Amino acid sequence: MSKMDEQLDALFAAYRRACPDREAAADFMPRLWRRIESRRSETRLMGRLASAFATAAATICLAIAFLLGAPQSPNSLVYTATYLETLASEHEPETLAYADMVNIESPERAEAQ
Amino acid sequence: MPVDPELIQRARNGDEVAFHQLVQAYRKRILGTIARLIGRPEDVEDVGQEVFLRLYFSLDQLRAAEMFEPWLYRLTVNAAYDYLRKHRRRSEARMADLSEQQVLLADAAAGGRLQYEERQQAKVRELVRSLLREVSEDDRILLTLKEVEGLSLKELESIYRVKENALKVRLYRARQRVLKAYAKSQEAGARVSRAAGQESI
Repeated sequence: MSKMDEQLDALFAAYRRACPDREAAADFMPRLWRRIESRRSETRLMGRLASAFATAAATICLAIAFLLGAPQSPNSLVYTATYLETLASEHEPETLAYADMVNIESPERAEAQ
Repeated sequence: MPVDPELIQRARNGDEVAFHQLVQAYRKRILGTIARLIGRPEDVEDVGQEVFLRLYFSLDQLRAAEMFEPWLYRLTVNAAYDYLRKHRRRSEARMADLSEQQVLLADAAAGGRLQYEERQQAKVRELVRSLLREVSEDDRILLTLKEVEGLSLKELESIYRVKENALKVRLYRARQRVLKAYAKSQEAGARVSRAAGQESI
């Protein structure tokens, strides 16, 4: 070990002596307990918020499941008919008029009947 | 200062009286360590509060009571790192960053107020802190734990969770840098003394 190393070791030892362990202030423990209590109440609040959020999310999920799973009534607003059924129901009068017109304009067919 | 493992166990189980006793048993030593690590006496208690707060909320993660002291040191080191990172800019213009000559002048000005012994101690503190500023925060803390706190390599290994050889390499390099800075400060001191001698002639 060089002389410089020895001097550095002595300097570190002197530093240790120059910075002794220190006593805490009288209010150290009360302050610490206040901080612990404050952190605990923050954690509790976060827990309650998380629980409320989870409950709300579960309720919304159940409501959506109920709406999707409930049997549909015939007058339901929800569309259930096929495309052809809808087309037929919407153009029924027009179709009949066309059929009548065919009957009038085909005498051969009328005679045959 | 090893405490009864049963006390640690009780504190782990949420016994507040046991936790209180645990803090009282270690706080003086931990505050001293923090003072030596951060070098700002006015903030030592705040960092100490942070250490024990973290201890309270992480005590249930401690696997064995025998690991308590390295665990507490680990929390101390982490809190010191956090503090130093937060206050990096503020500390730039501190006394310890002044040149040796400026320190001597400031010291001379304060001479009337301080006793000789106190002045010597203040000089040592300033010198060591200025030397430790030559290495990174990580190495400064590691070097302080080893050279000033007197922790063994085994203890450092359990605090840092790093292999002993890696720690040895880091310590060696950090010490070399500090030695270099020390040599420079010695040269500067000698120059100041020579100049003072010539002026008096």
